[in-house]
Amino acid sequence: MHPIELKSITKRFKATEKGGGEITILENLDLVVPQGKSVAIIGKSGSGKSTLLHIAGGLDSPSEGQVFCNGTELSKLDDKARSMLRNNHIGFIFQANLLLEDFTALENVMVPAMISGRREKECKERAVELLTKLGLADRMNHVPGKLSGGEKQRVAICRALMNSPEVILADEPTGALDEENAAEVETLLLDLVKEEGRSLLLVTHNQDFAFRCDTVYELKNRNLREEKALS
Amino acid sequence: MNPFVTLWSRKRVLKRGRLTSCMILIALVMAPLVCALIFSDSMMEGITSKYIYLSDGHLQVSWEEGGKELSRFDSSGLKDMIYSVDEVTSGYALMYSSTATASIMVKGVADDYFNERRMEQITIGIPSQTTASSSAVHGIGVSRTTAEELQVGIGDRVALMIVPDDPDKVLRPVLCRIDWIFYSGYDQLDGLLCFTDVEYAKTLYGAESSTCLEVLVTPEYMEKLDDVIAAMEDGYDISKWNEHNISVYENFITSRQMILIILLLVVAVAAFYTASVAQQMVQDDIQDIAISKLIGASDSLVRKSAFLSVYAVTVAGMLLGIILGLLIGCNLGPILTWLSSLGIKSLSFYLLDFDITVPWLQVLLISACLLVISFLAINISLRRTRRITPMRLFTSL
Repeated sequence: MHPIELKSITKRFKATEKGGGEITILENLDLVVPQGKSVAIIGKSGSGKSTLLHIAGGLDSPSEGQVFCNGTELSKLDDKARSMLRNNHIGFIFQANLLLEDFTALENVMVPAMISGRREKECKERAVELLTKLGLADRMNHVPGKLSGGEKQRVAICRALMNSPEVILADEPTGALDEENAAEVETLLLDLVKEEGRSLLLVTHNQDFAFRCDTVYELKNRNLREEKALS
Repeated sequence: MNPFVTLWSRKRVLKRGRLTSCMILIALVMAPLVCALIFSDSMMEGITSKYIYLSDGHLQVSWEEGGKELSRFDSSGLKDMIYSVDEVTSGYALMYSSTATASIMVKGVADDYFNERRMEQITIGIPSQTTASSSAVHGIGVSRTTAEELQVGIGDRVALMIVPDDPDKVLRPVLCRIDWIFYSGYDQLDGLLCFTDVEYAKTLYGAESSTCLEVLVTPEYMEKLDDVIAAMEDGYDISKWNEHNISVYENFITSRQMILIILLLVVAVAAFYTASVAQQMVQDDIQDIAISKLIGASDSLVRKSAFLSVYAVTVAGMLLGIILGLLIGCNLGPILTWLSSLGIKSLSFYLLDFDITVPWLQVLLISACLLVISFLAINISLRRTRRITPMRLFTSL
């Protein structure tokens, strides 16, 4: 049983042009994200990396194939169960950090735990611990609009780790950051994942970042090709 | 309650100007409604009291063909039910002054007729030096309204053209002197009434049918007049005040029902407005809703959060409106007095001085109507959150 397992995934989209038929973006693709390991997917823009990550996280449905999260097939879950699974087992980090603009950094980090029904005090303690660990102790009560890009991304990482999920799905987490901030976030993310024994599915253009992961695949011609095998 | 729901609602209520304006609008709708309820209920209660205490009593006991004489009526066994029993002889007359005429009802009453409860309904002006009682001209009390209409004052003489009950009798004029002037606060009733001594009234309206006993009941039995009637001895014709003033009574009942229906409709419209606020809030929060769903909030949790925000604001607006309405409603007397000082003629149809009654049941009814309709309307309009999926974040970016 793996945190994430994709079997024979095919994804087709309707072409935007009238009468354009369907475009197949992923075809008969298999992927396993093992427990405690990091997997990176690289590939050209438009190759379907993000689509693959969305399917793996249960955000989008495949046209064919099955997605398993800890052995549970996602297509068999209703909205509530799927939401609960996303809340407890998966942490998301995106290039656009997708923070709640009206909420402070602390509240943003607390939200996943609050959704799962944990007491506010308990949520706060864990959120403060994570924010402090990522060097944001003095920025906790700032809303995202008052934080720099790097700080926002660190808040997003904290939020992803808040419920101690088994797997982190990260889509270009450093894509919007300058070199210095990007390097810092890369290190933080990989260290945290390793430290806390989480699995990571990373989608990135950044080859250096990708090759710091345990396994690297390239998404090309609608399928994955292994670039770096798990040692 | 899920802590996320509380946090989300708190943030929305504090942040959104639209929610604040929703609260203000609900308060501005509720305040006049509560005020209108207080006004209509208090006014009707007040006018009813004027009719009961000055015109008809709670019950009227009259002679019945083949029944007992009124003088033998015995209420000594009903002390817990009956506050007072007064013999009254009344009839209609035209009152003439040197300048004008008024159509009035002459009520002959004994000296103790104006007991403590009746005195709460009336202000009587008696001059310090009364006119010589030895005069052959009988004294009467007229209302301030009639005195103004006839342009007379205390000590002036007026002619009464007595209209007898018996059509065979001829109209006859009598001369009277105005000894006192009263004011009940309700011009419509005041304009009809004129008081004189009961014995003198008997000489004017001799028929047995012109005399009756006006019964006032104790406060505990005001709403149980049928019980009092049932407890009274047989052999008399007993009627309730509203049977004598059927049009006034029916008017009150119909007005009360119509006012309530109109207020309920207004409340319903206000409640539907909350649905549009909820709809707009969802529209404004699409991104935040999608993010919440991305990190694991189910649709029902998102809906609960959005519902709580709008509903909390609705309830707060409602409470604010009720408080505001109560504050204004409980000070209607001074407001009406001020309006009357501006010379607004239509106020003669209302009391300017009356006891405030808060119709809690009706206030509760319109509040419940607001809560139920807004509950349903908000919930229905929030169903659109179902269409907001986390994928919306990526398709709209």
